[in-house]
Amino acid sequence: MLFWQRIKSDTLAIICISIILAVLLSGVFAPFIAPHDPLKPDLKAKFAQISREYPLGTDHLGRCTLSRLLYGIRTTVLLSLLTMAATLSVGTLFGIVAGFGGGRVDETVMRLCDILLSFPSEVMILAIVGMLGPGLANVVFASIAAKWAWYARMIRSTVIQHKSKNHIYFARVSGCSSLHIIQKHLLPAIACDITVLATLDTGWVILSISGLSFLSLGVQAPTPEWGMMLNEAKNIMTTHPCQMLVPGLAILTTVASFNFLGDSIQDALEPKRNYSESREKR
Amino acid sequence: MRIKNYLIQRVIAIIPILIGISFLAFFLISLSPSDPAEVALRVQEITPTPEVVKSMRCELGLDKPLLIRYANWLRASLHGDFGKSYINNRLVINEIGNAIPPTLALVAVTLAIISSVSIVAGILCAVHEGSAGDIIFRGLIFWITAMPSFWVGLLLMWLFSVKFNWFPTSGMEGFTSVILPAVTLSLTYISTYFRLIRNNMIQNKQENYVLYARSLGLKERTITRHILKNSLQSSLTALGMSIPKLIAGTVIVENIFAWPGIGRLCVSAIFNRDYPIIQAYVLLMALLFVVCSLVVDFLSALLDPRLGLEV
Repeated sequence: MLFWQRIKSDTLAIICISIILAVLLSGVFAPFIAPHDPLKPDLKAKFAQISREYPLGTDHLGRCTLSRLLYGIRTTVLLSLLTMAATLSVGTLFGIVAGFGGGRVDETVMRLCDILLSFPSEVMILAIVGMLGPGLANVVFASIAAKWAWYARMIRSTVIQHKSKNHIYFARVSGCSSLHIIQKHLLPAIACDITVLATLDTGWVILSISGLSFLSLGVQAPTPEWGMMLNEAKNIMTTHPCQMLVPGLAILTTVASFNFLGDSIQDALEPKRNYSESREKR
Repeated sequence: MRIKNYLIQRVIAIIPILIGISFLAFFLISLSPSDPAEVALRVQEITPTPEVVKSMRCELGLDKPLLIRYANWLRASLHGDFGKSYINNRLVINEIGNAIPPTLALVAVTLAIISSVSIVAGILCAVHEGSAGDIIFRGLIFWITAMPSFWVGLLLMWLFSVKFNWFPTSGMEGFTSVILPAVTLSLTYISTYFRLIRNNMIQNKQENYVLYARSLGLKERTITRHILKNSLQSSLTALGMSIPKLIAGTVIVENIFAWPGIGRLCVSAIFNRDYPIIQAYVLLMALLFVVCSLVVDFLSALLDPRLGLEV
């Protein structure tokens, strides 16, 4: 397991993994950790200072900021991960169908991808949310619809690379069904590429979902979400600027951790190849 | 001759892409949960009784079959007629026409900031590679880039508008109001180009012509100028490619700073369910991207004949 050794020796990667794990766990166990109900306003305690009862203070409605932050993990981070997983599944499915099927199927899927990739996913997401209307479900759907083509194309090229390897030929001559070959030989081989792609892009998905929520196109009030919290903080910026700090720092830390981790995983898997240019030569 | 053929090939390849995009822009609306006729009535504050809805459907042409509607819409769009806004009955083409100049102005200032900062910093960091300044600046750039643009925008607005009162918080009044949105927008892109230029220069430093120049005893200044010239070429292409991306990427920044551009128009259209504007926005953005990538490909084929021959 050279991969694990490399990851273990990379301090930065370990820090990132710990941060991400801590964030994910606090999101999952938010009901047990959160000191207050994130939705319950307490107008008497609005803009409370940091205290034992409100570890991060309260917002303009007197809701506990820490609780909202913790519950926000569920909408911001966990939902982004789910979106990512869904996008990957759709992309992998189409990528395998195109790469493995070849011929006319390949041609059709790739032309569809060309159309979707001819303009950036931001515009695509905005277009879909625009047509279907604001709302969290539509934002998630739009993110999947806008991004799957990119993965489909990447995975197709990996599949084609692997398809002509000897062990696949051998499996085919031995009379294995296509499904068996895909399950047993192709998927494990491309799994590592998929993981790298997923980690590298999770930060982007978080930014995209919270950005749309910031514009009030995604999550609707009063659901706690980091982008939404920033949007609320914007309105009271002149009087209570500190409200902007907590959700902003939360997004920054999480996104940066995912980005760093993606780079580390990629370095550990294939030191020579570079998916993104984010880690430069040192 | 080959370049001409290549260009013709590329233009032909664009047509199915554009048809596909217009198809998407048109049919997504039929997926929408709400009836456009009803939406149009509601925003004009008319109670949607069945009769009124029916007559509105006729007026908007919604009673015809889908494909005929698509053909009609496409024909009108090709002539620049995107219909009227549901909200204020103004022509969509005028609404968008009014929003484009502010966005272009914002993008132009942003581009100026991106190129000046990344070129100057890229050169300085490449020349003093590995120095403390290089490392600190790279770390700084990395963290600034990791910050979400909507947060940076708010922080800048608070610091420079609320606290110091140097710039207006929002709107478009005078030259100073463009600075904050442009800085916010450029922060996302600076790191990419800064890195590109820096790494290109470092790579070029190891080329033989540098060794030759040095052995001739040329001044360091002259050598740096030669390196710069060689490394800027690829960076300029990349910078050119970023123009359509910038135009499409102004949405969040325009909304924070209430900049009356096309991104803000689109978001308010989404809130109002003003479908004609959204459709026109999508179609124009798609056109912008397809045409820009065509121009860039063509220019690079022209500049570097090897690329044209390969295709």
